[in-house]
Amino acid sequence: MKAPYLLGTDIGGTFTDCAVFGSDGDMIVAKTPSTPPFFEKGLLLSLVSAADKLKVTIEDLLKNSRHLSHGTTVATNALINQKGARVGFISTKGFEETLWHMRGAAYCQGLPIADWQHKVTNPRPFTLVDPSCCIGISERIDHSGKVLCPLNEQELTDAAQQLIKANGVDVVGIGFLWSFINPVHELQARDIILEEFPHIPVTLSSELAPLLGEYERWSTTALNAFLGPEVKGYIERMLSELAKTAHKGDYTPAHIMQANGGLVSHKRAIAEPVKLLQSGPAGGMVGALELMKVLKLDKVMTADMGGTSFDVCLIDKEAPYVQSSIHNRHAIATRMVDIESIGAGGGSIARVERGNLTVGPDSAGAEPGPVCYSKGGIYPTVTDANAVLGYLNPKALLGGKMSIDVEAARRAVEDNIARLLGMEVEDAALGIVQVVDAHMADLLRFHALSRGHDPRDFSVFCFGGATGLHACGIAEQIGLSKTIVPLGGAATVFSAIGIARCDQKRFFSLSRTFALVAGNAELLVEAFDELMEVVRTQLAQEDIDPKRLGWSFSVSVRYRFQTNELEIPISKNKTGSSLIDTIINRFDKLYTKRFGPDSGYREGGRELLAVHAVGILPTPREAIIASSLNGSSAGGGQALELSGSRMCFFADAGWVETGVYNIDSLDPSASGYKIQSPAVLEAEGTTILVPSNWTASIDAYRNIILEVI
Amino acid sequence: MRDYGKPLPELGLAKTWVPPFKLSMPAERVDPVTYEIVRHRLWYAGMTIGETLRKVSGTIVVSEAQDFSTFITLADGAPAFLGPYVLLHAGIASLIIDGTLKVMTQNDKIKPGDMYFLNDPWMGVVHQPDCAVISPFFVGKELIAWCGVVVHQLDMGGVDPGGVSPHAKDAYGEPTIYPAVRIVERGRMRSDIDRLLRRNSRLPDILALDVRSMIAANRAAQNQMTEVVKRYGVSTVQTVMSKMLWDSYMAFAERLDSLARGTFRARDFFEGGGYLPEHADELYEVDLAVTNDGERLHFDFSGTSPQANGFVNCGFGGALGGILGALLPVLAPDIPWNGGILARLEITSQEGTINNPIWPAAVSGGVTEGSISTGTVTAGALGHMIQCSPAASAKLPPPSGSVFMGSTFGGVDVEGKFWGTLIMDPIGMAANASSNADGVDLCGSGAIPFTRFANVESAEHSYPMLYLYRRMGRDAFGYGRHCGGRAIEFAFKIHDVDFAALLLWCHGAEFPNVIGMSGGGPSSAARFGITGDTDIEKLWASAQLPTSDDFDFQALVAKKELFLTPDDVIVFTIPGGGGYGDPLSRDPQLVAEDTISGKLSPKLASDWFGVVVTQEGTVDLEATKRQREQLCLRRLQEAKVVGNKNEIKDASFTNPKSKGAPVLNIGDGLSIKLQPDTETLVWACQKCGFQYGPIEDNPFYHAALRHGHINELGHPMGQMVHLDQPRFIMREFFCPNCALRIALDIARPDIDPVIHAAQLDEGWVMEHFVSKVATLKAPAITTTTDGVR
Repeated sequence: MKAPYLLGTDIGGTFTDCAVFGSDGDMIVAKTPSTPPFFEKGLLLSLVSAADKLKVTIEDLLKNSRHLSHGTTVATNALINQKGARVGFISTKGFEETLWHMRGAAYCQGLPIADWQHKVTNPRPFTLVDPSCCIGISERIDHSGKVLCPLNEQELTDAAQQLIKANGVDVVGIGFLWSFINPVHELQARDIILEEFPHIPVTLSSELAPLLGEYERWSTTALNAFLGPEVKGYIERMLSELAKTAHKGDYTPAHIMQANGGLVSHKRAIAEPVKLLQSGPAGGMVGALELMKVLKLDKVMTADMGGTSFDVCLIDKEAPYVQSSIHNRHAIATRMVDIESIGAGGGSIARVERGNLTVGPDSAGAEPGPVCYSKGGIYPTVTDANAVLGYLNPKALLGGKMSIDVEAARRAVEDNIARLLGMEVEDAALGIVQVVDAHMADLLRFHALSRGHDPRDFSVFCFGGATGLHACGIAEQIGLSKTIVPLGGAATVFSAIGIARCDQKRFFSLSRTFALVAGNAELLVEAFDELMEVVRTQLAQEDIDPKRLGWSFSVSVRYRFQTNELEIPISKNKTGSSLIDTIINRFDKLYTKRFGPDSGYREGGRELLAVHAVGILPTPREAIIASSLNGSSAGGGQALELSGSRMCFFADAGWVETGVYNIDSLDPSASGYKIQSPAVLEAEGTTILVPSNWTASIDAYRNIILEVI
Repeated sequence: MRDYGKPLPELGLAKTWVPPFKLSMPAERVDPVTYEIVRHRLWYAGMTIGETLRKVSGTIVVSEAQDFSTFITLADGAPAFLGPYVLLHAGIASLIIDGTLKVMTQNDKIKPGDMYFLNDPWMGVVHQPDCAVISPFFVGKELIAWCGVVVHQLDMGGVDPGGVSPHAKDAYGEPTIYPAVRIVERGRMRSDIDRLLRRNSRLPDILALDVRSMIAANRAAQNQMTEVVKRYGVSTVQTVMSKMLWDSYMAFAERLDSLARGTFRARDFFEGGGYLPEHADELYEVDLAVTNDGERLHFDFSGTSPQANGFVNCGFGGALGGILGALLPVLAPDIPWNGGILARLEITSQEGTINNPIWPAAVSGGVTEGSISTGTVTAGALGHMIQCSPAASAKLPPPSGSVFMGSTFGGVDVEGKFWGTLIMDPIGMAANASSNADGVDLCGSGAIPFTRFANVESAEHSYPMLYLYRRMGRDAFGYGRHCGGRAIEFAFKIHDVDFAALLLWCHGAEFPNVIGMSGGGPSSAARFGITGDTDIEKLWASAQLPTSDDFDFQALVAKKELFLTPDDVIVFTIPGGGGYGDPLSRDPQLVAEDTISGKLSPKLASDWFGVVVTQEGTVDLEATKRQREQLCLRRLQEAKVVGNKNEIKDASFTNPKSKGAPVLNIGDGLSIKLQPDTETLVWACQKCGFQYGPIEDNPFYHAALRHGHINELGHPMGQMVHLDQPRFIMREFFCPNCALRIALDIARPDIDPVIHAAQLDEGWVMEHFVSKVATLKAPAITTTTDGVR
């Protein structure tokens, strides 16, 4: 592999993944255990592992890397473990309970629908800000930005004293009503606080999430403040580890992946820790977009099954976003990749209730894990069912690092499922697998239908550790005759691959609401002027010249009286009423396409809600994914060598001697080869099942194409 | 008025309703794997209906308030899938399908490709703004299933804008009724019906949009059903749906078997029949007796007021919706909600009463009046049942009655355009306390699983209003060993306009509706208030933002029409939840914390909880002990007794002390004991052993009774209709010996008999508790209790 390299790393809760691209397009990947709470150690381990595979030292790897990009679960972990700062929050007086109210949805928000039935017995999500640390002060601005009541400086000073001196908060968030229209009071409040307490980090709702809706904006602000110290500590430790490791600190600065699918500088990442939540899955979406370009596909759904959850994402040419989402039961109003999840994974527990077979949504997780991992799990899981059926390598999971206890899995399925249902143990195991396949297929179908698409128009990319075993089962349930495991064995580190190839991106939004009519053309121009002023100010803080970035612009629009919003891309070359006409035109068309004919209430008129600007600093892309395989794309078709065989159980054929292939290092010459089914394809960290009525072939990019015979 | 201690009187026109479908165990067997796969698939198909509706409609009612429901039923209307939206609507799926099937004739049959539009309260919908579109699902010529949606519409006509007509005397003054008209025929929307609908609405375009979204949602459901049937076959899909129903049916039987046998009663009142002068003095009563025989629940509404000549009645669908909204979250939190549960209910109700009115009664306000009141009595009666069921009470959530404070707010904006909305903040309701915890704050309505209110900024963006504060109400919850949850209170004024109209309606303004359990205090009352005497602008100019404590609101009656000017500030105080247990048993430390956090005033802490809190916020233990003793003393000094003939007389208690150990403890205050000498069961005080009387008696008849002024509760309240003379009193029931409070109810003085809240089946007690005690604990009782004595 040729230097300089592109490095992509993704720290997950269990594993830390690494992908290295050479400038010749070659790629190697590595997977090592994560090391909470000091995740930076695990990061180094994965880099060492990658360097070993390249047969270079880690110092050389770092020195010769053009780019180290990095997705991390640190923020997610801090949120799950409720390990964050003690936050003080200052709001408009009379609205200091807003964060506690959660718009009255505290007992349902972010929970599976089945749990809504017994909401009053559900626990509240843990409180980001203790109610005693939320103080309201006198100030009021109305919807037009007019100051009705000036900021009461004395009340503010008293509040800051109370929070910082008496209540001992580490960080302060400030959220005032309508601050996204007129931030003057929030800015003034920050100045006053910093004057007295210069060491206290202050997050402003108007800077972090300048959008309509005080609960979501303030929740984002509070969450950002809560995560701040933990994320800052991690990033600083990581940078210092890298500096220690590299020759004389000689390495390219790390860029951090955000949930919006863009990389930012470590300084920016420290200032906006809330945007690191879900950054790994966002990497998967970026990887899928890259691969779609190579394969010339327009419509792809991604399916990522891990130990506890199953994530799906629908890409119709462009990256899908949501502006508002729920994360670990907390509302976040910053742009995130639109990913939907259910509790279905390798660890999902199978049960018999009232004579019915159920699978999940509860999971044995990593601890105690499936029965066959022998770490104390006693309930049969999806992984146990796969083990019973012979699909998993009993001796050498994770590239030989782990063996499994198939007998224990068999006993668990027998005792807890098969006997109660009066089934053979194999049929029960197969049933568990089929049920979880169907559940995942139902989510994929629902995700597509609820976004106005037919899932059968899409190709499916199956990546993540557990998806390969279920790829064909899911496809069968949806009625697809083809499904793709991208990049073969590297599918298990697909997010790291996406992160490596991601661009630096900066998203800026400003909420401005007015009727989209020709007479308001001037307002639109003003809104963009204001937005660009924000852009200049923020980038100046990081010494970035906006001209270095490539810019694109868009606006959020809806029909008056309807809540569905669409983001319409615009070109800034047009101005005035012709621009308004163009927006209206595009919006009407897109609305019809997305929501169906006659679904838009055009008579109500259209309303502009926000203006957006995205700045992109592209990552060098001379090396398209594994392009060195291109030469053989005509199909060398050289046969893959069997690495062994074992007995596997299938619905139609029962126990069958099944070929096992190792696909860790696929040779380019195998491109075009069709593997005879049934077969099991094994790689470090993942296994792909090819049932007897399916066939697998390998394409020029090492993708495994699974097709119905 | 009926004496609750006596057998039921003749029911007259009363009829007993059973669901219009029959369930049976599926004859065919589907293997468990296929069952789970198809069940899950149907569930997602049902969810797709809701998503399609949300996507195509996009109106605030559908997307934000989620005021809609979705269902898939078998051919006879048995709902196998109910969307997790508004249960008030969902319960009626079977009624509207049955109603539609009945109106069709030989010459006008249900055909493939049809869809029907209906909003007829005499065909099952709760009130006229709730519009349904339902579609039959055929395979070949056979009707297999129905899909459907019900969506609240912002305007369907009628005398008042907004669909709720407080000025109406009968249904002719209310929104236009469509009794199952064919909106789609052979797959095509009928333009004549479309024109008819538009012509009768003040917001024709939004209605047209929603009708289209309802049709699209039905199409999505039909498509999904077609795919499922194609893949798995008709008989498998039918069998799976039948089994879904049957599983819930059987699971609910197990639940009923785990609950106390007997008859459990509750009563609720609501005041004001509308805005017309003749409505002002009206007062209505909903009476309920629920009998659990271990397999079925029988609901008897005998004693309920005759129908009103105003908008507060609710159709029978409203009564059923009210029952289900209260029952499902409480008795079936862990059982899939579908017709299987419905099939175990029977309802006896007299036609011509307030929740089962005869055409052409006005019913447009039924959803927040008759129907919610039906839910409140259901919650109350079930609360008594659960308390008497030790096996179930620990795992079931506390039932919560409720009040929804309704409003239509509208006017003309600066551009001269009409604007109008419902204020949805009152959905920030609270839950009752339970035996093991305080009630949950802001849990929202039990009848709508997922609810949330709008952001202040969203409201101010859309309408010319300005919020002054939004907080949980102070002192506005039921006091008890565990306190009721807190609900929202908010105040606003108009902004940017000079004038707006505000139609307000609720009930329970001059008295609280939701009773507490086991001696806990009732919820607070619903308060609409107004003040015009504010110096807001002046205060603002000096950087002072006035909030809750700075306004002196004048309370309003429950039903009121207002015309607002920019000086007016309006407040809504939503009632908090009811309490559980005697407030004098609450941990003083918790009471102190409540006063520090501002939840409770120090005065009420002392008056109701007997807790004295120091300036520093700590409990003054000595003073608290004294205060609690003082309060107990006062309870007995002021008490009278009800007596067996329901005549109140001075207290003189000569009952013997009960003996033996309790066989069954009921809540905090009462227990059932077996008297060793007579081998009979008696009610006894859990704390001191005082014997109230034999099990067949109402223990409250033998309790010390104290009448209190309704204002003693200390809650924020609405205005009394008769300012000098409250129509209601508070009645406290104590143990005559140790003064432990066992109940607090609200009643009209000299009119309302004391309710026989828990009339236990003696045989059930004997079988379930006495025999067990005898076999398991007999030696223990003889050595410890009798030995000591």
